[in-house]
Amino acid sequence: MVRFLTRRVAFVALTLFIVSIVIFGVTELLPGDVAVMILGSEATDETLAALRTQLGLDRPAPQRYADWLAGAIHGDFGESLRMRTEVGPLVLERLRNSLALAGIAFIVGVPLALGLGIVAGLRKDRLADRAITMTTLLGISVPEFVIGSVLIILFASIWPILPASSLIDPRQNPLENLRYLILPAATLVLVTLAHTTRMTRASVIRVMRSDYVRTAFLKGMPRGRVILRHVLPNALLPSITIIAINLGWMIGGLIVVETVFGYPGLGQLMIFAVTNRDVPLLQAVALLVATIYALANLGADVLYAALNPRIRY
Amino acid sequence: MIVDASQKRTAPAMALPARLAQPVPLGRDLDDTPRTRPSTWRRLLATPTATIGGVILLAYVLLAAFGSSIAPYPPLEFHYQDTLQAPSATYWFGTDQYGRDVFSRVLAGSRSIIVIAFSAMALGVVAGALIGLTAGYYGGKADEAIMRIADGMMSFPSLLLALLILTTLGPSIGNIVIGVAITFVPRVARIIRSVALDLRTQPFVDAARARGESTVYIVTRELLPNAVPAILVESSIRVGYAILIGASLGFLGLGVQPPTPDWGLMIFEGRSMIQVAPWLVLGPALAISILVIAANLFAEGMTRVLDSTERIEDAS
Amino acid sequence: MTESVLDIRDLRITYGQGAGQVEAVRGVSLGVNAGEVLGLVGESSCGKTSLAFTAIGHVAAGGRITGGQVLYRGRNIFAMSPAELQRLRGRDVAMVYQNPMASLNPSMRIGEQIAEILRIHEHLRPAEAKRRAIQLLDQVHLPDAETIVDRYAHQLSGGQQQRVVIAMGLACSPSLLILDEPTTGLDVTTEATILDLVAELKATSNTAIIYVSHNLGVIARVCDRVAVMYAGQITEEAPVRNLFAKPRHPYTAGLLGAVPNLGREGQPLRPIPGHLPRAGSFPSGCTFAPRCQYARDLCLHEMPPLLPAGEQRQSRCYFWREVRLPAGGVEGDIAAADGAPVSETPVLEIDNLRKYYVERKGIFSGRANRVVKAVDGVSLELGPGETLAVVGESGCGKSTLSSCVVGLQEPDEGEMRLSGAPLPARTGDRPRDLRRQIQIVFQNPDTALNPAQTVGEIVGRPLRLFQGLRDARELRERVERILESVNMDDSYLDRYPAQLSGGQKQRVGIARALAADPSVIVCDEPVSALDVSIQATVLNLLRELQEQRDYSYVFISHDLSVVRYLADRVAVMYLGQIMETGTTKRIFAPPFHPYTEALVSAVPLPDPTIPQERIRLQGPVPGAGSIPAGCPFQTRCPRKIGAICEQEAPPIRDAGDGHLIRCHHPLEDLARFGPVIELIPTAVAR
Repeated sequence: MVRFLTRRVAFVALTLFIVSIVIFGVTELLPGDVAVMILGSEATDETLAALRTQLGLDRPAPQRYADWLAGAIHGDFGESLRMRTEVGPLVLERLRNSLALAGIAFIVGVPLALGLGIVAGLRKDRLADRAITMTTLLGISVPEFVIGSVLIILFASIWPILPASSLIDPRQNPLENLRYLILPAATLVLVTLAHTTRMTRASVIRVMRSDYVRTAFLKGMPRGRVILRHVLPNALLPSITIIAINLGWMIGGLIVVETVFGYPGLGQLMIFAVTNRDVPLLQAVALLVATIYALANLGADVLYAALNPRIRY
Repeated sequence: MIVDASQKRTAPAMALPARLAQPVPLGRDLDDTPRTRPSTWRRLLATPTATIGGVILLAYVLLAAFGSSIAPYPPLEFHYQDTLQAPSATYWFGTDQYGRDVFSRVLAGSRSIIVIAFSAMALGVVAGALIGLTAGYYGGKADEAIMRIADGMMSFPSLLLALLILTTLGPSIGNIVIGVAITFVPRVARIIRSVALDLRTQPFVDAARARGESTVYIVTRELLPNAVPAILVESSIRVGYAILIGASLGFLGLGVQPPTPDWGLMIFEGRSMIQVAPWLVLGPALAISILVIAANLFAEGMTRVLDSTERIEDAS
Repeated sequence: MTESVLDIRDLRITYGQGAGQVEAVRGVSLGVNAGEVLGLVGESSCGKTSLAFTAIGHVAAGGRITGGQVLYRGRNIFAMSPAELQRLRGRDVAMVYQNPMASLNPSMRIGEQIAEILRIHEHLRPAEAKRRAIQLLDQVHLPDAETIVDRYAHQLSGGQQQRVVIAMGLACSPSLLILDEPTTGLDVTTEATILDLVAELKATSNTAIIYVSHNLGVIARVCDRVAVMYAGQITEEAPVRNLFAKPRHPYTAGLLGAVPNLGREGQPLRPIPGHLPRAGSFPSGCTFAPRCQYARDLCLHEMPPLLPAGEQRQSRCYFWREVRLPAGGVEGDIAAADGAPVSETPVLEIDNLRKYYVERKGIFSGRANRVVKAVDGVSLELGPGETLAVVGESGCGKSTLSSCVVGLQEPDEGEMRLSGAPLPARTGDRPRDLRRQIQIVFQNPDTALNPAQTVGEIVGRPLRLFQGLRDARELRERVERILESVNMDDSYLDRYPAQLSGGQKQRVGIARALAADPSVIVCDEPVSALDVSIQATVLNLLRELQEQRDYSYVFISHDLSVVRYLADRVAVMYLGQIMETGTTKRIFAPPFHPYTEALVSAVPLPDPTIPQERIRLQGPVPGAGSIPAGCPFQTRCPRKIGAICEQEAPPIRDAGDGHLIRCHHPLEDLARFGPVIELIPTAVAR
């Protein structure tokens, strides 16, 4: 188990290393001169040169990458070009907001998705299954920004019980303003729910068709016991992987949902960085998101291995 | 000739008329009729989800091609006296703050999304399938290296990776196609590789190797034809994802630039007036939702008809 | 003693809906009494498994009962409430399945899977249930039952898994036990021990047993009474000895004539002509009539009922009195089984071949790599027109050996020569003419042919590649001629493999090998995936082709009966080494290598009257990654001498005439162990 863990962690570290190169490479290839962008086109050559030196843009790329990575490991991502503040604390503050939103969606969404997936899988082709399958088809098909907009129209315009946008003070604890979190969280839940439900359903159906479940029925086990002891342990094991995969959707969803509702989270910050060509900010956000995703997948792998008796190390 | 059952039971051979006791030649009527399965097309047409999805998809493609010529108004035409009109007989989906006809803009906007969806799918699937087939056939170190890179790329959520790529390349339809296609490559490669890995151990491939066939022959004649169903399924699945990611990029302002009509962009612009004029959002929202639903229905039908392997729906 | 446990009355099972609906079981009546073993035998898709499952109240998805009743002690199983049915299953009626690995829950401990039956049906407390589970595992002779209860299915060997499933079946001492092909997929030595267990069960309990199998030998060994099924109907029912001695239905007689019998010397094989009609397109009269040599006009028009055919016997044939076991010669000289001695110039020579694998346990498992000795110093010679069989159980390295010969794998050491010229290891290094001369026929006809190519393309490819044929018409003519030689006409040219039956596919596979015009054909288990009646067709085809064109065969097989029928010489492999080699006649008579002796003793013979010595091997074959020191067979050898077997590699003893035995026992000792089977010579009519 120890060797397995170290190998997995080493693998994640390697992945993140590649990711950091990609992020640095992509953002460094950005067309346009950062210095010109900051100072405007009227700036004199001397001031531009001074700024370049100040930003370290005159040094070779590998060296700048090494400096950036060294800083990043210590949590120092440099200074935002647009906001003129330290990137690190800014990103952390937004991360907290995003985690609050994602956390709610996760806590509500995952159990609901597993439940619905199990019901649909066990009642395959019955009414409940058809209803769930049709609804989740909508969930995987309709983009987040459409779902969000429709929810706004429904619950902010037609039946105005919730705020249409979630423009809260980014420094405030978002959980103190739960009202503002409901619609974005609901949007996120609907989207991730759909994927997880469908995959769980497929997994349950596969296990229900297995020989060993037939064996359990044919040795006279009551249906409830077959489902609890034979179907669910085997069907839910892959759900761990499924949930980890769906975190990817949730992150993508976060970017869009935060834009729809104007919620001050990481996603919105990232779009801000993209549209303003704020390289240090963009690098920091991208690296952070990729790290979270990689760690979530690592956690899922380890959990899967720990719970699966067929994998022994 | 009906023989009484009880009679048979007592003395079967005796009760037979002479004619029926004649020996007959051996080996007639050996069921050698071909065991045909209905063709893929037939089975696809017999799957209602695939048919419905396919028909709607086709309608959208036609709209993308000819939509602007049947649109009631030019999509960029301002009607200053008719700004922010609710849907009516004149303006089916209403008008925006400049008095532009939302319905005409939705029709015109179909072009960019259809182009993005199918080009990105084609590009991503072709590149991914080639890489996957090669990695799967060669196996070993090359495969290992390719798959590690793919894993690295897949540790970015699709939208994030597409965003980064677009930030570099700058917003345009062509760049969206490239960005979305790049996010598809590792995912398609992974699936097709597993198909190739499976095929490569099949005895008929062994037979080709034992004959001393070239790698090109084996990959194109033995592997590829048998990977086609998987590639088709993958293609149909990718269309839906391409639309979703492409539209999201448009919504985030990284796609087509105003005033060109684009559904994602129209929803982004309409968002600020959503409580005053919800139709600005609803028109394109309806158009895009139906399109993706149709794509997913079609993909589901394709999977059911063509795919025998288990596939974990690939999200992110 | 004749207390009826199960009574099936005119049962019909239909699968599918509407136009695609197919009757899989067509009016079957059958009964089993307490203490009796009823064999249910038939080829694939004859409905035997569907029928057996009804005894436990189960119909596979897509199927339904469309007529008749299944009565368990007079109660109609399919009229029971769900609660009644649940109490019946596992307690009164239990089942053992074909694929034990799939039948066991992968994430539940073995003990728990047995104990839960006792807890639900007999309301035992957990501790008590576990204690009983251990007893049950003991009862099915699983060593170390105390530790096995805490294991998972994947940690057991195939034979152990099947014992666990049998223990599950026995948990509540059911009055009816159904065994559905319980030994299919197991090695012959493991199969023998499972069959012993069934025999022991029969002797010690009053449980009624239904034993479903396609293997006549297995049926002959364990059953009291046999029902033969064909196309969803019972064609014949009789006590086991009578059935095998005097079949009274042409199909039974056909099966017995088509299956090679290790116990009968020089017995020819007579395939049943044609093949099973597709379900749904059955002829109006007797279903078997189109394939029947006794059929007359009546048979084409009237479906015969089950007629009484002697004491305790029934036959679905109007002319059962005329049915005889097929006798008499078949094409070819069977007596030549002794084999011509290897001629001076062998076609293929294999010299001290070694193939080791480094087993990687996946990149992330972090387990140390192991060296697996798949082929460990094998030397063989193959004469022109000769069939050399390589036999052994799964994992003995016989398939790796064949892969090396055709160039699919590169040996680590050793040399091969073809007609005296060195044969490079890799296909890439072999000149085109050498590649042409060695061809292969694969085991599984379903995967041996590219599903995306037509028969014409598949058979034509070697012609294009090796003969350089380009002209489409000439190519087509040549392919037609080759297909003709495997008894297929030109209507198959444009068909895809999916449109062929299993036997047809295998003949196309042979045709592809022939198209290259080879001198050596490696046949890797070419008939083991085929039904008995088809198997005989393919075996006879291989034989005829050899007589006509002098091909040399390397015949890889696990089936000693088939080997005995086809081979001139045999090499017995165990854990990568040849333990014994010699002419077929000498291999199947003493002196035996102890492993060969055990193999011969384990083979189920399709004749309950042939006496067979009972020698059983304990435990599974050690993994090829942990080959025991000294003699590789010492861990399971029933005739182990002692320390010498564990420490020293055994010498090769020459019994003369090319008969070599790798054993520490001197030949005189081995000769004393006596024959395993009393061979019954069959008169060969010429």
